[in-house]
Amino acid sequence: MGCICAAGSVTNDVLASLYAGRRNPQPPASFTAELPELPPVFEVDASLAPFASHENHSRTTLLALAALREALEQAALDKETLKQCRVGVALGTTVGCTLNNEPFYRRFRMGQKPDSNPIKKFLNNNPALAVADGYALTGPVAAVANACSSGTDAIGLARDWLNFDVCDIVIAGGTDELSRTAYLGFNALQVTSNEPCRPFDRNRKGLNLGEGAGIMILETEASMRRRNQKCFAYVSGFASSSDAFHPTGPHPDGAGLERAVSQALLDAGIGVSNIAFVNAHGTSTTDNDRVEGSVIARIFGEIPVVSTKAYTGHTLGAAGAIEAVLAVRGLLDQKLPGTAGFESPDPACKITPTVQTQSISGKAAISNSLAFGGANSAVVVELP
Amino acid sequence: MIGASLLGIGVVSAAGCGIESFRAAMQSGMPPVIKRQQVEIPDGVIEVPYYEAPVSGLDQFVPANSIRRMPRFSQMALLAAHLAVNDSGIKPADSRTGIVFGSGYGPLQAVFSFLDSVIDGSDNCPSPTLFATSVHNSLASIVSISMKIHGPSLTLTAFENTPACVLQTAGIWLQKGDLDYVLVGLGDEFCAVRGYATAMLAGNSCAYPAGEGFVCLLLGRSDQRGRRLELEFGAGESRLASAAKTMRHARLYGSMPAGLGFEIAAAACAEPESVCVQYDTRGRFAAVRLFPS
Repeated sequence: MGCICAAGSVTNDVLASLYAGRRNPQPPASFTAELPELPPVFEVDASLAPFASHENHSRTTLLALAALREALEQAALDKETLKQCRVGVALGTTVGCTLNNEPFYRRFRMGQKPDSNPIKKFLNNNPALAVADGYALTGPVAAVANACSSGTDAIGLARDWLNFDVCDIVIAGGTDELSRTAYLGFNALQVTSNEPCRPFDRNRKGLNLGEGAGIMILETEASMRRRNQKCFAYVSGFASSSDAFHPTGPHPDGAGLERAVSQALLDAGIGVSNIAFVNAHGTSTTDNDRVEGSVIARIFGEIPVVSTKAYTGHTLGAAGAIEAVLAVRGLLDQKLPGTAGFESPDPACKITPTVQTQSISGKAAISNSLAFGGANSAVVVELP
Repeated sequence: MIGASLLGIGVVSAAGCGIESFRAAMQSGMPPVIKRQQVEIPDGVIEVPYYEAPVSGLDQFVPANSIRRMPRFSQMALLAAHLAVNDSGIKPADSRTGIVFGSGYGPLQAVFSFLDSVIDGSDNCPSPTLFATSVHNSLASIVSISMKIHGPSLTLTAFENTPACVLQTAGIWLQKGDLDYVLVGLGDEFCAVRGYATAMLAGNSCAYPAGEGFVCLLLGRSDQRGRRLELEFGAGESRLASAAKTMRHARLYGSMPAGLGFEIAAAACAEPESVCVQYDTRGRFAAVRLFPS
């Protein structure tokens, strides 16, 4: 697995920040906006190595490549080994598949005949294709553009490719950079907070955007045996559903999410009592946390719940993948961070998330994602 | 190979709305009306030919007031979806139907309309509605809401590889057995920025007009009634395509990453067994064999 986000540039650093309760959302550094107050964001330090000297790659692609390098190293895979296997790439993204270069478009509108570099950059930076090209992979490639559930959906898609013998190995996950367009869009929807986010808190004001990438190397058992490798976790269940209700908000009764979670457990062949914790979507918006909290309370009762977005921000197409990686690490460490910012329970949410780092016990966890358009996804991860 | 059955087709293209309009255009041998955008680029003026897919008849399926503020690309997708379901004679509502949509470029005009609202207004008050419609999966969500489809909904994008990942996902979903139907959607839209991009990157060398339109296919499991499909995916040589003569109908719908959807529609209009294939620029392909009904 690999992970990069504002909390750290490799998974160990991310977890160290989470367990220490460290977070530092700030006004965006990579762009400006003329707003009365600038909602803080969780931005990856621009001085980090992944961003050095790659003019042809977008920040979204670079984030994916950085997380991928960590994941490949852990999986003992290199380019040559990958070439000998059937390798697919399924990556979630939102910004990474959108031609939203504002300076280019402003010049185009003014008839200033802008140069074509932003177009070429867009065409060369579908993150899934860019990863496949970078490693000369010829297996299936999909950028999952399912808004905020993209990262989770990409993991589900990858699992299908393995289960149906399309691939031996799949590079699965999600990646997204902060963008001014998304920043202004979420602000227009009035779901951003001018303070650090407070998932499930009674006084929560909204979300903070973030950026990052989470990558999992998923592999069939047969391929692992051939490579003489051992796995440290399984993606044992996945399901998704649609609310068919509203273009941006969740259905108030949460029936769609409940169906996705229940089916994911069924798919994993385990029951609620096997789940050690829930990594919630937990955006810190009024609607998401109320609906998701209620569903979690209905299904899981008193099982520990965390929202790691308190440390990463909402990384959109990367969110589900980062959260799945953190769920696996939580199981491996038998530890959960506190949900930073949470102080007072909200009776409408019906749950109290973790308030400080705590130990957990169990071999399975579930990670939820809810998205624009009423998409709900849930992935179950398990230790062997 | 993955098997499936084709239960219904909805086409929105420059040739008109509905599979019959598409069939009529095929049989007439006449391409649709080609429009032209005069594009000023640093090297001079280039005329970019393109197709425009008019949307008509959507108010048969959804209330007119819900269409008024809907982006044109969303309207194309929604109309194609309703036409496909109508064509099938099936009502595939609820949780045993999935949606897999894909486009090469996504909802371009909605993205630029949102940017217009930023540029013409201010950073503090762009349109939240336009922002919501600028997200790739807004098309699939509009369809799921309109048709009350509660099953999984996925939107994929990978330029010319888009049809392959969309069809492969639909095929696998049907094989898993959790779903009875999958509504597949493939399309792309033309807009002024795409015209500019075409002029800047390809000049006058395009083989076909820039394409626009949306195709929806209602697929069922291979044991269901309907025309049987075989789907093949890979890189290199397609066994299906090498064993049969494949036709290209791009003159009917234009050049676009999601063009395979229209090729499947064309194959369905031809009664004999047909094979269509689309390669991406890296050699990955999706091939579809459509058996006689």
